[in-house]
Amino acid sequence: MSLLLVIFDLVLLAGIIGVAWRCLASTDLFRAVVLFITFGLLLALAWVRLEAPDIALAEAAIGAGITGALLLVTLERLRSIMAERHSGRPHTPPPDPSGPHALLRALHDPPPERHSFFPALIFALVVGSLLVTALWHQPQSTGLEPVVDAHMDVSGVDHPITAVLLNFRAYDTFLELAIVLIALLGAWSLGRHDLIPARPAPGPILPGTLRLLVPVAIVTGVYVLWAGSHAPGGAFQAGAILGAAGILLVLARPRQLPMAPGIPLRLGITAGVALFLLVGLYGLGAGHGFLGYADAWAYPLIILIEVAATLSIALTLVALFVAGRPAGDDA
Amino acid sequence: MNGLAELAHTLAPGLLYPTGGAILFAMGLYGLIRRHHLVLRILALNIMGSGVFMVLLGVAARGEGPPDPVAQALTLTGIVVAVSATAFALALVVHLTRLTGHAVMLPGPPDDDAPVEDISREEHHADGGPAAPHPDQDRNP
Amino acid sequence: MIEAPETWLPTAIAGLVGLSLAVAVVATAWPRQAHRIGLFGALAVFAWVLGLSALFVAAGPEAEAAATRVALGGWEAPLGLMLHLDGLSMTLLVLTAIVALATSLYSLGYIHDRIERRQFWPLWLWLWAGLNMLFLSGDAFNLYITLEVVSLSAVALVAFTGTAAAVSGAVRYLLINILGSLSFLMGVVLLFGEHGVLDLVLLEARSEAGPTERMAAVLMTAGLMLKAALFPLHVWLAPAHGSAPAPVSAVLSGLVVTGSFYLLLRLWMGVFAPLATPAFGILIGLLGVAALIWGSAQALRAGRLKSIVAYSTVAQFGYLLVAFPLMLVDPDAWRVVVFFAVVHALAKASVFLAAGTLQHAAGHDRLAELGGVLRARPRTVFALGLAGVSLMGLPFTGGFIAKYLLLEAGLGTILAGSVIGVLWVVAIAGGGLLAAAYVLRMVAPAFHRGPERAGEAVSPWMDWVPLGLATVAALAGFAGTLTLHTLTLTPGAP
Repeated sequence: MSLLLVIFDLVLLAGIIGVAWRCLASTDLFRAVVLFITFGLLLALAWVRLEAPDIALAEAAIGAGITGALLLVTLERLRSIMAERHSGRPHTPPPDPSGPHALLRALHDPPPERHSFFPALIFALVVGSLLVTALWHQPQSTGLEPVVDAHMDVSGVDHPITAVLLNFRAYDTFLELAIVLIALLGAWSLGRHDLIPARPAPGPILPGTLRLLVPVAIVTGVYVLWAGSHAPGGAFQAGAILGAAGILLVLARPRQLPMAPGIPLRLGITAGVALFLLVGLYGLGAGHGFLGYADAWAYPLIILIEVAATLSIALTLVALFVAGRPAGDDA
Repeated sequence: MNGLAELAHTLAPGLLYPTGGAILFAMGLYGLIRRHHLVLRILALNIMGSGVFMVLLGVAARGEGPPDPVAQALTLTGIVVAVSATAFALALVVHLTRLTGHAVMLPGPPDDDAPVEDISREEHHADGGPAAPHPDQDRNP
Repeated sequence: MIEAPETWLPTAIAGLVGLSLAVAVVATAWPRQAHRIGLFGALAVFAWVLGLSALFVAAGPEAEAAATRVALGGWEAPLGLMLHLDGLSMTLLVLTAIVALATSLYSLGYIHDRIERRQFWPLWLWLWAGLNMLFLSGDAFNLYITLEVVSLSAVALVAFTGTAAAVSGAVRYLLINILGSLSFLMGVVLLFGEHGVLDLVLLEARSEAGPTERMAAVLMTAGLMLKAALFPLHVWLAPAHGSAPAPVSAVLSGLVVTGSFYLLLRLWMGVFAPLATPAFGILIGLLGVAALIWGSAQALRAGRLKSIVAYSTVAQFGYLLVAFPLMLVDPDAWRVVVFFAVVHALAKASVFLAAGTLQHAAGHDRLAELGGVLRARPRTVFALGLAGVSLMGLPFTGGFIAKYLLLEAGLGTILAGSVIGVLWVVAIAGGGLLAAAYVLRMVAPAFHRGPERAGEAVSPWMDWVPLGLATVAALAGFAGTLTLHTLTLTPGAP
């Protein structure tokens, strides 16, 4: 049995490493991105094998899903910019086939030069082998599992990872929400985005699928959020699933999407950090320490924070996909 | 048969996966040095990050009992940080390509003769111009 | 009956984190008023830091009892996260408060466009909050997160003007920063795998000179050197610092780089202390000498004012590296190094602010054509010169005291029989001369004959703030005793 598992591990790792290698070696960017998404899905499998279903869920939704969507839309944007530059005028149909060189440059990366091969190889080999040496010398420690286990009864939730994320190390999680927000502020500071016009549906399949998928995604998201208190799931996975539903809507858009209103959008993206901080400051004032809860209040407060965080994450991820700030934000 | 069992024991996930993570980390580093297109460099950094997470989760799975929830929580945090940084980096790459026409990191120091745009001056105004025209806008009839 | 300061200290520490975060969150949610929120927030955080430092100095008369650790959410390490305040972090918090307040006031005049204000202030307040949290963090993984807060907001601030130079500098800065963060995180993961804890104090107690610590030290040091632009990992610095708006350059060169240096020092005095061997010290010192020479050479060649200042940061950080071998011989030298970093941050920030004023007036910062504006704006030139004098280390300035103390430490190593000590002394003295050369390059056109040209009108903030900050930098020498005393309140340090 354990031998079979070892074989499984070896095959899986070989697959992961092989896909990553093909991704890094490919000259076609589109191909590299598709391989990267495959890489993310294989990683999710590895996380399941390592008894980390929460991480597998997050990897599939965030690592492969959202990152993949962001990468694909980036390639599409690069292609469109190149087309525009090549034709010299904005808003023209794709350039004629006689001059695709600019497009090729945008979505291709020539194979690397020969002269950097040996230095890079030796550098990577040295770093890798030193890392492996250090890792193979490490003891079989159990980490902090027993400590967390001993405190589960006062954490307010039944799922250890949620307990760590929203209670024991809530400060890290707060800052993580802040980082998502800062990334959006950074992307917004670069400029506005245009109206997102309706897109003619190529057939009945897309709108039908959309009508089916979006409600399913919302239900799944809410379930994953609720499940987080006692089983794998939680705010980040739920936010990513809801965000994916939003991205799907932006992509398919059966009708012109309304420009997001400035003030509600700002409040929406900051709701997660704002509520988290308020609860944290209340804890400081009430004597439970900054970002601390009274034991009896831990569960409702954690749920409250998670709901706000899910909303903010979903909104922020969709906004990051659209990239520019909506014109309403400048009003 | 004994030898095989011993081998299986040696290659426990707590050792195998950290090794795989180290390999991914080194590979990402190699890709980062070798490739020039910014999107590929971002992919290389993401692969390095996945290597770090694999080491962390592998380390968490060592030992007898259930895996370490702290390590898993840290990984979750790390994944979210990675996607945020990636999203911002991609937005920068799109903007850079719009301004310069290429998505490659040019070596060397800044150009001393390049014009300076000074946002403190009166004639400067943020035009808030379109930063992200939607990709398929052009193809709408 | 007033309670003893010790009882208030933990609340005041957590309160500082809460306050700086609250200012950033409110400004993000309400960007229309972000500049007002930012101004009042800056004043409030500044006042809070000063109050905290008074509490700290009053509460910590003994070096052993001086680290105050605050369990967030009431969870003690190893389960929870601890904030950690000692003399070193207190000093850097005060430095940050001073430079950040000056930068905030300057930005009121510098960034006037309504839309740009909305972008700038929230990001800047996040950056400041991130720095405060970085200096207070006592947990290895939390350090990674705070580093990410700092780097992402710093990159966004470099890019937000949206020009080609700024965006291309920002992309490079971001990729290097992500690489540095990942390298740092891998080190954290290695330490966690070996010891099963993340708290820095617990890690320090368990660490020894094993393979894990060696590799973690290499990864974390390399990552932080990338972020601090310490030679030879400096490639991103000049493009990013030179093309950013002046207040952003000031904060990047003055504070963000110092933050990485702080972390290097903190790690090498704590977790990695068992690994610090003389050979390692000499290696780092040689890197420092190289940075000193390379950075100075670039600063002497660069054609633009802000490029000169940016390259001089590489050179000045060479000094900090030169100090590493001195610290191994003379354990007390680290306090002098920190003092030097503090003076450098003050002086460098004021030089960048003054350069921003000149650039604003002239419309460019090409040194060759800047003479008219320099002649017409004696106040700004005086600020530039005063801060420059501090960088050079002329007598009676903060820079002089710092360099004098470093030289003393260097001579001490020679007397202790170290031959290579001669190299350090030569580097410290010679670096001062090189600094004098490029500082003179910046101000010299002001003394040439020629027409005066005041250029664009300058707001009073932009006129006076550089001068004020330069004065603080020059007078920092008088705060030397207090700073060095505060730094002795760092437990575990030699």
